[in-house]
Amino acid sequence: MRNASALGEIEVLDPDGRPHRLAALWRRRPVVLVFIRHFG
Amino acid sequence: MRGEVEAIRALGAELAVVGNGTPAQAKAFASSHEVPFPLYVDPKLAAYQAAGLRRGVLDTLSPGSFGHALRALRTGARQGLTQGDPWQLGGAFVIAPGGRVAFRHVSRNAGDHADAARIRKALAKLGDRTAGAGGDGAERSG
Repeated sequence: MRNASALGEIEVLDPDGRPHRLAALWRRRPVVLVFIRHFG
Repeated sequence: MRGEVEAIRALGAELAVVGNGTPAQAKAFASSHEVPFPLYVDPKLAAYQAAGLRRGVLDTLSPGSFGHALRALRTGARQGLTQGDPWQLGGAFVIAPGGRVAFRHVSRNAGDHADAARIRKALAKLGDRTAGAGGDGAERSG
């Protein structure tokens, strides 16, 4: 992944269940986006 | 972890964490622990897939309990990202406004984690580039 435009279209949920487009995270400033491997 | 969050913010960026699981699990997790960054869940793994996280990562994702992550975060808060981070990272990316991926690390196995120093370096470089130099300066790891 060199460009995150496709990733940015995806919605994730915050802890209240509200959807957020990922692109909003890097709209104004860089983001360090970390994916946790597993929770179990 | 807190130290890393501060370092990232000092470089003008923010940290966000995406996990598998449900919002309720994330909420329980966030409320029982001080989580100094936005936390999201991706129950359908759409973001994991779009990020190109390797099949092995997806295979080992276990929906369900936040328990291990919770313990991992607690440990991580003591150890920080650089020292054998126990978060079981699937991957880490530095994404600049506009969507350019300035750093990427896709874990090859459970013990393979992004190096926090390289993440900071990528962020610092982004800061230097705000003047508008072109090209793909993506630093690759993993």
